[in-house]
Amino acid sequence: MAKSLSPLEVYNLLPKTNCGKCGEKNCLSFATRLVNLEVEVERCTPLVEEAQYKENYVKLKNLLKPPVKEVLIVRGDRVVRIGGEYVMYRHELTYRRPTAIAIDVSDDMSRELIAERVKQVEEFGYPYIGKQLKLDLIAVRSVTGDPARFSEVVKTVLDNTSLPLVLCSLDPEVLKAGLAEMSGDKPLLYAATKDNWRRMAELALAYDCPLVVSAPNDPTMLKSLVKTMLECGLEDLVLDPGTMGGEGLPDTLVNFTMIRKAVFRAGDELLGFPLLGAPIAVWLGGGRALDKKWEECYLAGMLIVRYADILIMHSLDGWVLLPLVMLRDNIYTDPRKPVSVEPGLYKIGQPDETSPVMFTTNFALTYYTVSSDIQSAKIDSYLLVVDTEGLSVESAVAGRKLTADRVAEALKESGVEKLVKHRYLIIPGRASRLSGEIEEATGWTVLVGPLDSSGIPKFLDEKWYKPKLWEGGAQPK
Amino acid sequence: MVIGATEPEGGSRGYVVEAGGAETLPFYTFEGLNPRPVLALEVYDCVEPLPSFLLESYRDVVSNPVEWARLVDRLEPDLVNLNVRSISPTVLDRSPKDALKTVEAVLQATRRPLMVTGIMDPIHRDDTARNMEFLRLVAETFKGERLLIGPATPEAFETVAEAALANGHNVLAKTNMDVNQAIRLNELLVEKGLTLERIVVDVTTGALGYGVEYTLSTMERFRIRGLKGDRMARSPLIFFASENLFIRELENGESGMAPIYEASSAVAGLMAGADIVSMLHPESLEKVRQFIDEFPWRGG
Ligand code: SF4
Repeated sequence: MAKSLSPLEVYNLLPKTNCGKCGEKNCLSFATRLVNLEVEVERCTPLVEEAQYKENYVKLKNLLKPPVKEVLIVRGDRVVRIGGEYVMYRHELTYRRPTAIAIDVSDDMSRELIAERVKQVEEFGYPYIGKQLKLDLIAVRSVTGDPARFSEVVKTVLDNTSLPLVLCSLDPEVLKAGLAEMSGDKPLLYAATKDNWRRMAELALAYDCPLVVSAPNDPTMLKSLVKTMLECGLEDLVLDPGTMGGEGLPDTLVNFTMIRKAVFRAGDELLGFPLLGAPIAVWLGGGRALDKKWEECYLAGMLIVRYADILIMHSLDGWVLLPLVMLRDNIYTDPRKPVSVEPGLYKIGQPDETSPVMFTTNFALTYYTVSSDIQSAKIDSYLLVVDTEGLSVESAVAGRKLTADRVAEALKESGVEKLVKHRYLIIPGRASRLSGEIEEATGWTVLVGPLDSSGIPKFLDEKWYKPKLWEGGAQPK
Repeated sequence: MVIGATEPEGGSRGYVVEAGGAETLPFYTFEGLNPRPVLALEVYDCVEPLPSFLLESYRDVVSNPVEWARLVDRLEPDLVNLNVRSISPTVLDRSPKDALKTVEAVLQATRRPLMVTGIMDPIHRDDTARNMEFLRLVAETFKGERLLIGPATPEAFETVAEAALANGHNVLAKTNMDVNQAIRLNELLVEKGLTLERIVVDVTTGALGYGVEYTLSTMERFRIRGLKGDRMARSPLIFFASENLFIRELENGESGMAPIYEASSAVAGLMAGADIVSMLHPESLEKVRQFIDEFPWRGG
């Protein structure tokens, strides 16, 4: 496991020439970054290319191998990576490959419905701290059992999206019909079971695709199937320990947890593969659609925090998916580094010498929230981002990472003094207790802004353009 | 931890709740069963405009915490969490003494065990002093009720610790983001004479998308340390899922989004080891209760 590796152990396998080709000053610092999983071994080109290092390269690859294998699902140039995990808890290092979410279409749906669903999946996106939270895959399910129908549906899906696919059927003939439509790609095949494993293994080998091994609520069977698959020569496996809603929740959770515990605490290599969860299972029984959506959501949430690397879901409602993609993003954030933006002066719109000057912290979420609020209200202004080591305003004030002196220093360094004629600084409402000290340290007049940046437009409306603020110097527009 | 006291015990509650006492990691049912988590429902003595989706449930009681408590009582939470923010100079600047009347009336309105919190996010420089004054009065006036009162913070914990100790209450210890800070505050409270089963640890930092990962990881680390034998990490944990209802995503979000946000974060909090989950939306309370019902717990 990488976290228990020492950089020296890794260093000993590097060429030790300090040639700098990897972009690091020397081999030791490259070793440190390798242990922290910040770089790929292949950045050390001599190690990969020169014959004399071949043996060490292989050793190093082995040493750095994640206990949970990384599996790639490929379509054209789009790749979804799942697994590749090094730790059981995110605080032990970091989680790496966010749980991929696949939404299903089934071959009993109409062409229009399939196209519509696929389009919705493709277009789902929620802007969050400078990125888009997205869905990852389409799971095409055969329910009719008809190979011809399946291939038709796969074709429809391919025509409507460039997302990678999961092909689902327990009948190898059906999967084969689907695979025939996607030569060169590597969809995930679902699934090999105790009944069909031989033909599934042949299929996965023939098409060089990753394969799900499924043994619902039967970990012993799962393990023996994995062993068989490895003996067949397959390497890219994904495990389906079974997902059950309702009364089955405890067993589901126990299976997922015990598998990961076996991998990380007992070094069980047979179980060191990505885990597939199928919250879609809640739709099997009868009941109100609304209840099903709820159940699917909390089942998915539970599996996102407990080790699922890929989920197959049915609900497509924003209100079900948004909390999940948000939770997933949060859980997979690297706990070692606060999510931060570069401190400094940011211009929003086209500020001039009469524009307001506000400050916020360099916690990415704070920054993006504030700047998007100002932008969407079309307020030309200067936004000073103070370095709080990536903390939000509230935490930074409490932890003394946001102090009057830091604000004064940032203000000075930004040069905004020369850009505006006034000397009014708008500070976040949550930093109000610093207002006196900031006035003293900066010599600027402090206006305490709203607690939430969504109140900025209203605040400026009321406070900023009032002529009494403008004794001499700049004039209100 | 025991919250609430019945009449024979010197209080006026209809029953008591027990929180904490976990012996294995959360949901490690294959290693042993933990006690059932406690669900709290919140009542505010004043709120900044309540989000519209909450008005559907609470419209008629928004300005009346006593009626609100009656309504909440009917929703059958294990615990009622009365939050008294009106004492903040930036809110209503109500005197702590006057605010006691609300606590008194809420104690009459429900016979469920009660948690009384002051200003949870002190912003004004006098907020902390107000909290201390208020919590001291609450502790003294309702001696014997075995309330859960807070927040005690690293900056201000002495008054509330002393008052809780002298009057038989429990304390909510609030820190930010860091397991060592939480343990340090426990040490300080223990030095004051409180025992660990009378402290609830709150490391809530934010909602989904607003830093919940810090909370989850801190709770996990705290629980792991406690189970490994670090005595100062053996307190029960509380998780405020209600934070999720005040985020901007929900202001114009699809209907149904709000309770599911709160419930999914509650599920994540339970997975991370929460012994008490505090919520605000009746629908999520119901759903989270159903979720908990699916699992086996120690003592049934
Ligand atoms: S490229 Fe390889 S050999 Fe060169 S400095 Fe980096 S680690 Fe050392």
